[in-house]
Amino acid sequence: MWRLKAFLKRVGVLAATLIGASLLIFLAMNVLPGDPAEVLLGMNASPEAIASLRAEMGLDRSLPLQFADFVGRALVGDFGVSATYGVPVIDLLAERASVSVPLAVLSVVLSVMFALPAGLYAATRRGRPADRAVEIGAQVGLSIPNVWLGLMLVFVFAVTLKIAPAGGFPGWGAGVLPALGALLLPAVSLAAPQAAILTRIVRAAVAEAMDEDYVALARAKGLSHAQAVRRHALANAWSPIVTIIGLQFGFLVAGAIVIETVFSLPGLGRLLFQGVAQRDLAVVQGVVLVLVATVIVVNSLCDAVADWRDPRRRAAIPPLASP
Amino acid sequence: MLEVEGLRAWASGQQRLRGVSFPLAEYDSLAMLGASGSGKSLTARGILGLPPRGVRYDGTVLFQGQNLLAMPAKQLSALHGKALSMIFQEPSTALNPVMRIGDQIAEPLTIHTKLSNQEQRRRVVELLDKTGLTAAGVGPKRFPHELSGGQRQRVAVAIALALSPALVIADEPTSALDAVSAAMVLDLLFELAAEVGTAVIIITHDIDVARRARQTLVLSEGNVAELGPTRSVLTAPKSEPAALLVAGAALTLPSRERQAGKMVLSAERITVARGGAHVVREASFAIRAGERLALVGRSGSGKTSLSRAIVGLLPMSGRVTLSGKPVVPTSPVLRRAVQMVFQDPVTSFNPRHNIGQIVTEPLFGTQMAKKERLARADTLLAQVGLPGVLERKPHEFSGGQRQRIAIARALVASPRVLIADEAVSALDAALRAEVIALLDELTRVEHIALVFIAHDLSLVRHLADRVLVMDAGRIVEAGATETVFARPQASETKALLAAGDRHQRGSNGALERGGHHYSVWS
Amino acid sequence: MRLWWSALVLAVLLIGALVAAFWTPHAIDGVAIANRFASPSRQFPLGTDQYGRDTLSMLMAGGATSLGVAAAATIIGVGAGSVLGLMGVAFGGLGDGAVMRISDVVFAFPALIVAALLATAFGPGSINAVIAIGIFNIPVFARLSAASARRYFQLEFADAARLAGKSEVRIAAEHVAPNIAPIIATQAATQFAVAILAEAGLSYVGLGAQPPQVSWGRMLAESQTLVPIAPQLAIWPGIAITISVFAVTAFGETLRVRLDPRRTFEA
Repeated sequence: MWRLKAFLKRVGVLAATLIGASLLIFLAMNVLPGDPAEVLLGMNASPEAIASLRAEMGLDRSLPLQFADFVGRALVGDFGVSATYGVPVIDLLAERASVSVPLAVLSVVLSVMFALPAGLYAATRRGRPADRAVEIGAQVGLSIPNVWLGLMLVFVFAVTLKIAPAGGFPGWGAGVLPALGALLLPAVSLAAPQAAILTRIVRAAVAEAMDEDYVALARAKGLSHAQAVRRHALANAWSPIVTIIGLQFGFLVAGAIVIETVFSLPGLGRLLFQGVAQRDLAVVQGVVLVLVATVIVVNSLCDAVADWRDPRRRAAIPPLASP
Repeated sequence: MLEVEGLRAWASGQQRLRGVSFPLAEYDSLAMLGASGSGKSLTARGILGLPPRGVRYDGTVLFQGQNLLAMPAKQLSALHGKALSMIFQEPSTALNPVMRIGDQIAEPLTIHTKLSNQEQRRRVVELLDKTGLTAAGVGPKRFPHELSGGQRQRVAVAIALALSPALVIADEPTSALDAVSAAMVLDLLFELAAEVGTAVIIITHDIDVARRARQTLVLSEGNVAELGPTRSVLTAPKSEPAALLVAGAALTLPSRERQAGKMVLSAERITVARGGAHVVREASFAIRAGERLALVGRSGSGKTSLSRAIVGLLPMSGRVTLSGKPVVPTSPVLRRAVQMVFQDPVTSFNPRHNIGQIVTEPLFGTQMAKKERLARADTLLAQVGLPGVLERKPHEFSGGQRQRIAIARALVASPRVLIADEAVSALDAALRAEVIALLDELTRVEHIALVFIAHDLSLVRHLADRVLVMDAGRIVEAGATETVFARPQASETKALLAAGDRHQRGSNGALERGGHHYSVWS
Repeated sequence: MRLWWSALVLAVLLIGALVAAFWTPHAIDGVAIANRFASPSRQFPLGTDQYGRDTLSMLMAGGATSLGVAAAATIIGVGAGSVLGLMGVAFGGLGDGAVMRISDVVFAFPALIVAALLATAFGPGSINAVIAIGIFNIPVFARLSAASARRYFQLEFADAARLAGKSEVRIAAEHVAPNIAPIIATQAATQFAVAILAEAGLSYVGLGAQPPQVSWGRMLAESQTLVPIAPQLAIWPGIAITISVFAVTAFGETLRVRLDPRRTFEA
C-alpha cells in the first residue's frame, strides 16, 4: 500500500515539476519584448493585419487561458509552426533528436564504462599512488572544457591523422557505422568531463561504504577484500552514483548543445541556435521545452532507480516492528 | 585456544597498543573492560586479523596454534566466519542496509559450506527461530532498517554464531541499546555461545556487562592493567585503572531529607502526536522544588518526547502550569524557568561559539548588560568547577567537562526546574560520577527540581525520589522510588527491573555457563 | 602544499585579469595585419593571431571577462541561493517545501538554455551570461544550504537556543549559518569552476561575450576555423581555462578538507 502511495507521490511531484517548468518557459516567451505576431509579419505590417494574426494565434486571450492551451498543445506534440522553416516544430524536433539522443546515450555509456572501473580501482587502493593518479586524472578531466577537447580531437584525428571526419553528419540513411563514426569524437568530448566527475563520485561512494562496519563484518564472515567491496560496498554505492548521473544530465544536455556546434552536427542544439538567431519563437520554445522536460524526467527516473536500489529510501513509511 | 602475545598497534604514527597479552581457553568468556580510547576495539580487530584502515599491528595472535597476524589473507578468510567471528557495536551500521537480513545470515553459509540453497534457507529460518526473531515477526525478507536496534543485534548474533565458531568477539554489542533490549541481546549471546561451545570476548565500558564474563581484562592506555576472574577484579581491583572504573560505577551520594518544597511545575494530560502516531498519550505529572523525578522506560516509550513537549520543543496538547500559573510552553517565562541538559555532549554546543557565548545564551532577551552576563556565566562555570574558560571553544573540553558546561548553561538564568535527558549516558564511569554528584548538589543546596531520564536503573535507584515508568506513550506507573523497586505493579516496570537484575547477576551465573554445555531450548 | 600552489595560481590569474581591465601589454582593439600569425618573440611572448593581435594580451583581456562573469554568477548563486535555502528550512514545512520544489524546477534549466531564452529576448551579451549562470546556481546553493542546515536545526544546540527564547530566524543566523558557511564556501569554489566552463561554452556558441569584447570562449570560437594552420591559437585559451578550473577546484578541495565540520567535532 505504501509503495503505491510513494509511487503516486513521485508521479505527482514529477507532473508538478513539469508544469512548473513549462510555466516558466511560457512566461519567458511572453515577457519577450516584441509581439510574436509583429515578428512574424515584419516591421511594416499594418496594425489590422497584426490584430487579426493575434486573434488567429490566440494572443488576445487571458494569460491563464493561453497557458492552458500551451500545455494542452504541448501534450499532444503540437509546438506550433516554425516561422523560418514553415514546417511543424514537432517534425523538426523529431528529425534533430535522431542525432542528439544517440549522442547523449553514447556519451553516458562511455562515461559510465570508464568511471565505474576507474572509481572502483581507486577506492580499493585508497591513499596509494594509483589512487592519487586516478584523482589527478579525474581533476584534469573535469578541468578541460569540452569545446576545447573537441577542437583538439579534431586537430589530432581529423586534421593530422585523417582517420575521422572533422564534423558533419551523414545521416542514419548512410548506414549505422558511418553515422556512429561521426558521433564518436563528439561523444568522447562530451563524455570526458562526465567520466571525470563520475569517477570521483564512484570512488567517494565506494570508499565511504568501505568504512562502514558491514564491510568489516563481511570480512569477518570470511569474504576476501575484493568480494567484500563488490558485494557490500558497491551495492551501497549504487544509489548515490545513479543519483549523480541524474543530476549531471542537465550538464550533459548543455554540453551536447555546444558540442553539436563544434562538430556541426544537425541536432537539437543547432536547431536552438538557429531559432535564437532567427528569433523563431516556436522553435526556441519547442526545443527548450523538450530539453527541459527530458532533464526533469531523467532526473526523476534516476531518483526512482536510486530509491529502488536503497530500501531505506524506498520505504516512505517504514514498518517498524516492536523491539 | 587463543594466545595473544605482545600485541602492539600503531595508527597515524602513534602507538595505541603497547603490548597486550592474554590467553583464552575454549568455551571460556572474557570481558575486555576499559574507558574510551583505552584500545579495546583495536585489540579486537587485531585478534581478528582485520586491521582498520591506517592501523599497523605487531606481535602474535595465536589462534588454534596459528599466528593470525602472519597468515596469508586467503587462509585468514577461511577462518573468518567459520572459526572466528565478530559482532559490531553500532546496530545502525553493522548490517548492510541494501541486503535482506536472510541473505546476510546466509552469507557465511555460502562462503564456508556446501549447503544447497534450500538447506541454507532452512538453516537461516532455524537461526531466526533461535534468536527469537521469528517470534517477534521478523522474517528473512526484511531489510535492516525495518528492525529495531535490539533485533538488528540479534541478527548480528545469528550471523556470528551461524557456523558455531570457536571464538566470537563482540565489540560493545549493547551500548547503543536500552536496558531491556540490551539484557535480551546479552542473554541470547551468552546462552547461544554456551550451547554451541563458542568462547566469547566481550568488549565493554560497562562493568554490569562485564559481570557476565568469567574473566575480566582491564585495558588502560593500550596496556593490560589487570586480568583475573571477573568477581575478584570487580570486587577487589588491584590496579588503579580497574579501581577507578569500579569506583566510578558505584554511586555514593550524601544522605538527605526527603524534599517537600512547593509545587513548581505540573503537566496535565500531555499528548504529543508525531508522524500520525501518538508518542505521548495523556501523561500527567508534577514536581516540587528540590525533588528528583526519574523518567524510565525503554527506547521509544515517549520519555524524551514528553520532556521536550513540556518545554515547547515539540508541539503538544495539554496544560503546563508553573508555580500554579498556566503557561504556554513556548513562552519565554517557562523557557527560562525550565532548562534542559542534553544527552550528547558533542552536539549540545555550537562548535563555532566560545564558552562565553554558549553559557550566556539563556540570558537572551533579559535586561542584563553583556558584561554582567559574562560575569554571571563565569560564576556558574566556577560553580561547576571550570573557572576562567569563557574564551575557549567546546572542543577543548572532555565529555564530562562539557556536561558540566551544559549544566552551567542551564543554570545561568536561574531556572527552577532542570530536565536532564540521559545526561550521563555518553560518559565514562568516572566522569559520570562527577556529573551526578553535581546534580545531587544542585537539588540539595539550590532546591532545583530535577527531572531526569535514564536507562541506568542503579542510577535511578540512587538519585530519584520518585519514578515515572513510561510504556508506549503512557505513564504506566508512578510512585516513590523504594516502593516502585520493591513492589512494581505494572508489567512494564517488572520487565525493566528484571532486565536490570540480569545485569547485576554477577559472575557466578557466568561461571556456571562458562564450562558447561547446556541449552535453554533443550 | 596544495593550498599554497592552488592559491598562488588563482592569485596570478585574478591579478592578471584585474590588470587587464586597465592595461594589456599590447592594444587588442586594433588590427595589425603586418604582425599576423607571428611566432613567439620578445615582443609577442605567445605570438599573435590572424589580426596581428598579441595573444598574451588577448588571454589577459579574455580572462578578465571569463573570470569576471564566472565570479559574478557565483556570487548571485551563493547570495540568493543560500539565503533562500536557509530561510526555507527556518520557516519549515511549507516554506521549505516551496523552496525545494521551485529549486527542482529551476534546476532543470541548464545555464545554456536560460541564456538562449535571454538571448532571444534581449540579444546575447556578457550580462546575459552572468544572469543565466547565476540563475542556474541559485537552486544549487538553495538545495545545499537547506540540506546542510536541516541537520543543524535538529541538533541539541539549536534546542538550547530555542529554550533561550530565540526565534528560528535568529537561530538560522547565529547558529546554523556559521556552521554551514564552510560547505557553502567549498561549493562556491566548485561552482566558480563550473561557471568558468559554462562561460566558455556560452561565449563559444555566441550567447555570451560579443565582439569587440574578448573572452576565452570567443577566442576558441575564432580559432576554430584556423586549427589546421594555427593550432596554437586554440591551444592557449584552452590551457588558460583548464589551468583556472584545475586551480579553483583544487583550492575548493583543500577548503573542503580544512573546513570539514567533522574535524571540529572530532577534535
